[in-house]
Amino acid sequence: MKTRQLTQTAMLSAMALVIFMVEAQVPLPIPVPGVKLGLANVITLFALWTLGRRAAGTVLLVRIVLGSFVVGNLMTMSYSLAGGVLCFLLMALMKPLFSETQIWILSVFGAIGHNAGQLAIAVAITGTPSILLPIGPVLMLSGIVTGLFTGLCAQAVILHLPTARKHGGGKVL
Amino acid sequence: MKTNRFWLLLIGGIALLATAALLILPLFQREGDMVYIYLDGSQIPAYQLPLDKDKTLRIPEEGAEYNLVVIEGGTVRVAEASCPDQTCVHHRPIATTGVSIVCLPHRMVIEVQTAEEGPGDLDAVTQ
Repeated sequence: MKTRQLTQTAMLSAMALVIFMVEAQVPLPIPVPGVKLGLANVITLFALWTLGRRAAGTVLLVRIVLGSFVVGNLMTMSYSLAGGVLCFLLMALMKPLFSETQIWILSVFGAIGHNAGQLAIAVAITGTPSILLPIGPVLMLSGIVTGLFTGLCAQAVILHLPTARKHGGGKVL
Repeated sequence: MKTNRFWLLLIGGIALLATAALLILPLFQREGDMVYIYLDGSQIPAYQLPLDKDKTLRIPEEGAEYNLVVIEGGTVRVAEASCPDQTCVHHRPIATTGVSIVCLPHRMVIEVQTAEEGPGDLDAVTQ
């Protein structure tokens, strides 16, 4: 890994961690477990687009593991991991289907994946599949809205920072 | 490269399905008369309570980690919880089947059912 890439990955991880921690202090007044804005995903998207899959995966894992130590516990870490990993896999796989001006669409699928992963592990941990029906559709809709929002943020940053694209070196894997 | 139109239709379709599910769900909800509380996926026999009798429960009775469940006026809600996210506390009181209050940190689920229906087949699933 080149020095520039290492420092960029570290810097993005730190930014993601701060966003994650700040967001954890501001709960949304929606009484459904798992509904949140997911602002840290802006950083994951940015890393995925400018540094590539490996660096983005690193940023995501560092953010979740360290973030859970600071504002959560082992239980919340398992939720974050399930959601984060599914979101990342979906976005990494679907990325080739989208152009630079369609990042907001990629983000919607990532957010839906994130919420699906969280719901799956919630069912596994509580052992009550009956929560699927009332909560599932809400998480689906909230994923679309929040994914749209974070995706538009990430797209705006990426399109307005041409140097990030150039120096990031594009493909890593 | 698919067009925006293609993706918007796909996402719109997903949103439509989810909305339809949300709209249809209440049609299948019935007034319940029993409260069933699940811990770690199994229904606790001590926590099968009639909805029409006001009662306050601390679950579990001992320890720093707890939920305060209140049955009051034919509805059940969580009045207090020791967890940081407080999602279950913000959930509106429930009185019908088909909705549940979930406390993820404490692996607790509260459900309302009709007495004939019983606690459902959740036990069968988890056993």
